[in-house]
This record gives sequence, structure tokens and C-alpha cells, in this order.
Amino acid sequence: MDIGKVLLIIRLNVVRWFTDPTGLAFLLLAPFILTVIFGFAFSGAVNDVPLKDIPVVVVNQDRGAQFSNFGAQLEAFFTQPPDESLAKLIKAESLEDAAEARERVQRGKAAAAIIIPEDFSERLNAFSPTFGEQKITLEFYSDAASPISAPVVNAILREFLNRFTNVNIALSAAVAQNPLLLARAAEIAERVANAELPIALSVTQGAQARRVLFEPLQVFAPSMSVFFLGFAVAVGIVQIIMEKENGTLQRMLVSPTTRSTILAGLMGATYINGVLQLILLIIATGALGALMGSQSPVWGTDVPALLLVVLVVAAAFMGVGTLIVSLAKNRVQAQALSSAILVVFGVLGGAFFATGDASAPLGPVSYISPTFWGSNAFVQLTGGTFPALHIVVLLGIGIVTFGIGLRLFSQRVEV
Amino acid sequence: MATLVEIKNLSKRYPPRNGKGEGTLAVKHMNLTIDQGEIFSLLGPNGAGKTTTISIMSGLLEPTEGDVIIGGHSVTKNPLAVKKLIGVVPQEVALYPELSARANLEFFGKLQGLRGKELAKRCDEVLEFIGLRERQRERIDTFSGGMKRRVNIGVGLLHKPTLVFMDEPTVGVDPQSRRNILDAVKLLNQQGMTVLYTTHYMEEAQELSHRVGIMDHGELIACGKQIELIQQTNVRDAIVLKFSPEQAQQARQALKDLPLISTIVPEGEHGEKLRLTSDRGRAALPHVVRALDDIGLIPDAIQIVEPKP
Repeated sequence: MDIGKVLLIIRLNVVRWFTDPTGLAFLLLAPFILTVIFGFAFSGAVNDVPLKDIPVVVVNQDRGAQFSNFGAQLEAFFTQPPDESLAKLIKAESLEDAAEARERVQRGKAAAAIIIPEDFSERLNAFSPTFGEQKITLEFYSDAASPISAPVVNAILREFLNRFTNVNIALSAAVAQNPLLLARAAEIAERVANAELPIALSVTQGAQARRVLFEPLQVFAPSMSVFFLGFAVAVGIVQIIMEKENGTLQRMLVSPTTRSTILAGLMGATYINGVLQLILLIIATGALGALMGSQSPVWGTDVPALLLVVLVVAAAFMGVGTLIVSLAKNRVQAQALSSAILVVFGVLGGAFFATGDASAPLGPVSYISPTFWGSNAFVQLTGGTFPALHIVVLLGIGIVTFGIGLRLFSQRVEV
Repeated sequence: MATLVEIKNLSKRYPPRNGKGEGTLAVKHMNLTIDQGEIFSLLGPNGAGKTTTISIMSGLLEPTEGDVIIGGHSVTKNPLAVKKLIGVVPQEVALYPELSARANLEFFGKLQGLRGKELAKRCDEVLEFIGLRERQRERIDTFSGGMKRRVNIGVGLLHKPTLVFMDEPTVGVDPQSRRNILDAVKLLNQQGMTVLYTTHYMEEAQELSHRVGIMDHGELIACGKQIELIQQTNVRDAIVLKFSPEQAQQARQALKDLPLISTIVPEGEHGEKLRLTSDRGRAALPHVVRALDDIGLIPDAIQIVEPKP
């Protein structure tokens, strides 16, 4: 392979991009714009959780009263739900620290936190002379990015508290079997009717309105960036096929230049385009995230590792692109083949249902997808882990597919 | 003169489009030699196999059978050595439209191995030759069709090839540009280049060539110097009939068994003309018209062409 000629062909194509600045801008900026749009459009759906196993944390600080601990009852209602349907709906966990509970909500790990104050039982004590006079404040700290789950938990809590209050009133009246207490029960009941609920819920949405806007970038940016990289390669493939249709590829082929040199040059230009697009996307989404108050860098902090992942992800896709170029006979075939492969890789790699973690969305079959390895390499970097295995696999995909593609192009393609 | 090109039993079969059958045999057992310093024209209608032959000779297609030796090198065994000797002027304009004429020349010149001052000098010479030195910095997509054709030719000549393939370079160009192209081919030949020129115009072949080969349906049906061709076909003069392409096919079928007709050569871009030769010359015309009338065909035009020795 003649490296000088490879660079010559790469340079020619880079020069050609700059003759069409609008097209270049579209090619490089469209992924960023679409990633942000996708991020915002699906932020609710992504950050909310499905209506089962809604994660709730309960902090019971209740000291209890003489005869009862109502806080413990409330905690048990969520952590050991009395009926099966509620057990399916809620997945509650007890915590000791209120600050930690709020933080879990802020990190999106729980839809809501219920924080039971230390004087909860004491104030709810029907035998206390001050029962019903003061509202009891119970904190409900919810995730603003859970537009469905948090209100569901809130409604369950309110329903429980209503029943709890009514039962408490009846209990206090009945147990006493005392006209005075019965009379008092009636009085309390009247107060309840007027006050609607003697227990006040302090409903607080997590102070994460800004964070909520940019969580989607962390979730979507890695998978979308890899997905759009695939499109950049697809555009490159079509451009190469167009060279064939315009006769310029044949012109190159009749010069004393090997086929592998020509294909490496053409795919090299596509590779540079893909790398540039990824870097721009990373810079733009990272800057936007920082600007809007993202709590952690969208792409992590290890810049050299990030650059390495960019290079190997682009290499993997360039390899696949080379294979497609060598197989496609015309533009229609190239477009159909690259679209089909991209969508399959996207589905296998989780580009359409970002998991936000490193799990394989479709099990082991996902392992054949460079989209899976690429997006998860970025996710790992964000989480502070160096994705060594991912880098090796991506490089392997790139080398193998590029090698097969070059061989097929050199041996089989007739133009 | 020394032999520069030797085509040996060359065949090319394209695979069937739907995967069934044997496919199309585009070139059938072709044998031909071209001498150094010669202009050789391959004449024939579209689909005759001319472009396939040139594509094999320039290394774009693999032959199914046979080989081509150019300057002592086999196209199949040592394609890079062959490519150093050849220049190709393709049928369609094959340039980067968003780049200037000079940028196109420089890029393809570098692929040919030219560098530095040598490249700059050759670009200047070629731009002068094609008459576009003043407009060398302008984008190709701002040029007229004729100007693009000239740049297209220029790219093929940049590295001073020993052998130039010119594949129907005058298709779709205005008469003035056509004249310029034909003059340029003669000039190149005078400078020592061997030219393999394909066309479906007999007049171009007659004007330019030292020898002419006539191809039809993948076969080289006649080959020789113009005078040899005339002797070979025993022609006094030729009758040229013009039809629609479909009618031309029917007419050919009807006339091929007429005993006094020696050869039938399809001409024109779509084979819409038939050039008939007969040892009775134009006297064969009444028999031809009668045979056509029998199958209900009337030619759009009839021309008697006298041979140019």
C-alpha cells in the first residue's frame, strides 16, 4: 500500500468537503442537534421508570409514642406492602439518613423519598391533649424527572394517611370507651373534616430542574454519537459508490495505484470525517452539559482515554464500511445494505432504548454490534472506568472487517 | 513497426443479472495486434463490446478467458506495469466537478506518479494543449460540455502515456468540439502516441485511423487497413440504411440471408444504421428494398457512400 497516495486521496476528499461548507456543516453539526433534540424529547420517558417496582426510599425518624410507633407502620406499609398489587407497584427501601435519601432521588435512583419526622407518633397520639391541633409535617421529596412515578407514590401515601387518620380517630374513641373521649373523638373528627387532613405533606421536588435537562445527554449522547457515526460512514460509502458512478473511481483504478491504496484513501477520508464528527459532538454536548449545570461531565474526565475510544470506535465503523463498499455494486445496494446494517447494529447496541449502563440490551447477540461496544465504552468512561476490553474488541472489529473489505475489493470488484 | 498491443483469445462473460443462465458474452475470442505509433479504431454500435475490451485492457475488468499484452506486460499478471504505459479517456466525463481544471489535473497526475516541477510543467503543457490555460483555476461545474470533454482528455494525457485509450470521446459534443478532439488525436499520434479509438461513426474511423476493427455482438467481424477492409469486403460502394433501432434489428435479420449482400455493419449510437456492402455495389439497392418491403419495413433514409481509399 502506497501511504503517500493514501494521504493524497484523503487530502483530495477533505478539500472537496470544504468546497461545500453547508453540506459539511450539516454533516458535522446535525448529529449534535439531533442528539440534543432526542435527549430532550425522550428525557421524561428515559428518566421516569415504568409503573412497576417504582423505587421509593423511606426514612423513618419517628421516636414513637407511649403505645405506638406510627412511623414504623407507615414505613412497613411501603417496605412490606399489605397486598400483592401494591407490592408489584412499589419497591421501597428503608434508609436512615434523610440527606442520603434526597441524594438518591437527585441521582435518579429513586422516584421519591418519604421522610417521617421524629415527632410523628407523638403528634398523632389520639390520647394527647394536643392531638389534631397542629398539622404534622411529613416530607415527600420527589424526582422532577419522574412525571408519572412520583405522583403515583404521592397518591398512595395520601390515601394511606387518610385511612390512617380515620382509623386512628376511631381507635382512640373506641378504646377509651369513655364519653369524654368519645365526645373528643367527635370533635377531632369534625376538625378532620374541616382540616381535610391532619397530616400535612411537605412535597418537595428535588432541586434538579437543571440537572434533569441534562441527564438525557449522559444517557443519550454515547449511543446517539455512535449511531450517527454509523451514518457518517454510510454517507462516505455512498460517496465512494458515487465516485464509481461518476467514473472518477475508474480513473483512479487505471492509474498505477493498487486497489487497496485507493480504497484505504477513500475510507481514510470517511474515517477522518467520523472522528471529527465524534469530537465535535463530544465537545458540544460536554460544553452544553457544563453550561447547564450537569453534575458530572457528560463524557467523563479521562480525555486521552476518550480520544482513544473515539479513534477505535471510528475504526470499527470504517472497517464495516469498507466491507459494505466491497459488497455493494451500486448506490441503491450500498444505501440499502448500510441502512440495514446500521439499524441492526443500533438495535443490538441499544441506540434506540438507551439503557444508560453497560448491559447488553439483547443479550450476547449484542456483542456483534460495534454500536454496543462503542456506546458502552463511552458509558464506562463517564463512570470513570477505562474500557480496555471494549477498545480491544472495537479495534478487532475494525481490523478484521477492513482487511476482509480490502481483500474483496481488490479481488472481486469490477467497475 | 513493433507490436505494442497483443490481444490473445480474449473473452468476457458478465454474470447473469438474476443469477440464472450463463450471462452475457460481451467479448468473444478476440484476437488483435496494434503496432506502436498506430491509430487503431474499433468501430461498432453500443453493446458491440468496445468499452468492455478497453476496460479489460486498462485493468478495470478481469477477462473470462485470454489475455492482453501491452508493452510486453500481461494485463492480468502485471497490471501496475501496464497502467504506467496507458492513459484512458473515458466515454463519460470523469472529473471532480467541484474542483478546478488544474486541481483535477494535479490530483490525477500525482496518482500517475508525477511530482513537483515535472507535474507543474505537464499541467501547463496539457492546459495549453486543450486550450484552457486561461480558465485553469475555474471549477469544472462552471464549464461547458465541450470544455469538460477537453479536460477529460487532458487528464488521460498528463503522464505522456505510450498508449491512449479514447472511448467514444466525441459522443454528445458539438461539431466544433468534435473537430478539435479529432485534430487533437491526430496531433497526439504525430507526437508518437499510439491511440486505440472507439467510435460508432464510420467517418471518424476513416478520417483518423491507420487501421479499423469492426465489432458487433462481442466479435471482431472485420479488421485491417481501410483499403484492406474494402478489399476484404469486396466493396465498390456501400448502402447505408437508417431505421429505428428496433426496425434495424428486424432489417438485419431479413437482409443477412440475401445472397448478394457481403457484410452488414450496424452503425450509430444505438445501431440504428446498417451499412451494407455488396460486390454489386449500389446495384444491390433494388433487391434490398424488395427484401425489406416483404417484411413491411421502409427505411427512414437511404444513402450511397463511396469508399475513401
